[in-house]
Amino acid sequence: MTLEGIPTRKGGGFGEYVRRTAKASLRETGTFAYVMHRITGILLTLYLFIHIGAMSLARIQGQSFEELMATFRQPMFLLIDWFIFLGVLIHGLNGIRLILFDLGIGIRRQATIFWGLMALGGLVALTGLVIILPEIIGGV
Amino acid sequence: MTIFGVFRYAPEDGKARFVDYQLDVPRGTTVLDCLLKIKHEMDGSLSFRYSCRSAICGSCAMTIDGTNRLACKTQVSTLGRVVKVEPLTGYPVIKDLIVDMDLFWRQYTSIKPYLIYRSSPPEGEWTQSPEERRILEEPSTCIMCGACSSSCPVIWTDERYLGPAALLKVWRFVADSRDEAEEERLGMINNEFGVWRCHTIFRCVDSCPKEINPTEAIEHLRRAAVRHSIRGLFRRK
Repeated sequence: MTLEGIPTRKGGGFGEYVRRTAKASLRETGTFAYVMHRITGILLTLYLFIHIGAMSLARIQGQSFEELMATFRQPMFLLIDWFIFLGVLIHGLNGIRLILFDLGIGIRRQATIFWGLMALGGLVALTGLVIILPEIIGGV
Repeated sequence: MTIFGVFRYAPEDGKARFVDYQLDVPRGTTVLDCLLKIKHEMDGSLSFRYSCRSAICGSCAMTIDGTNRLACKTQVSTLGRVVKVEPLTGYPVIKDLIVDMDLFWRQYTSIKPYLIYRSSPPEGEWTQSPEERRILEEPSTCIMCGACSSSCPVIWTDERYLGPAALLKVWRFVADSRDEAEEERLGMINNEFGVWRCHTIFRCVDSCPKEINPTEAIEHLRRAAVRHSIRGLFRRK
């Protein structure tokens, strides 16, 4: 049987892919990890370009490195830094999880490994927040 | 009382919609029992595939409450008061819950799902040690229902990807001590539409009604493909 003449193809198209994957990610750890990896990956790539753009612009405008750093130590930027740190943790730790599977380690306990690593990431992120919080609050 | 929201599609009118059916469901009733009751007593036009009713043939794979399952194996008591029943995702719908599995079977046949041997087969029985057989235990349990491949988000966007069912089958033959086509098989899957396209999402594992782990098979194949590629580098010298 050819596919011609069958108008309905469930799951076809990028929009449908996003909708179904997002819905599944709310129920399934593996899909949630996959979605988070993509979101953090895209955001970190965007950040990288913004970072390079901001640094280059400052150099073109003749700002010194110290002046630029002073701008980036404002509370709002410190908070953004913390979110970037959080994204790096999620992306990096999940990356380690995927490498473990490639090496044949823990594939039958993928959900436990994911949540274990995320708990570790959460702890590290909270520690980071505690460290920079006085600077954020103090600078407001 | 359980409400079944069943996906309905008739090629004549070309419209897809959900139709609700209310049923009294006694304990021990499967989703397939309910679909048969709907067909026999409420709406004879409802179409779906089924055959063995004992989770062996794989015909009644469908999406039940968002997860691919076998209707004959799924107890309604394990679901909520409202049960959503849809055809498998990723394949064209022919009518109601029946999908065209052509893509699935094309992927399956493309990987040569049979033993290949270059040397002469032994006379009489072709024996394997219990250890050699044990490796094949899980991949051989696959009933080819298509639940895994249909749940894979990668296949939804790219039909060229072989998918978990076909890759599991490749591993079943690569791991078989009697098969002599490892090089050919690894050549089939060591590319962007083979094992390297898998994003390790585990949806195939979550949806397999026989509790097989296709992702693990894909990881076995990845390591075998890397070993094969490294060996190839030295052979060329």
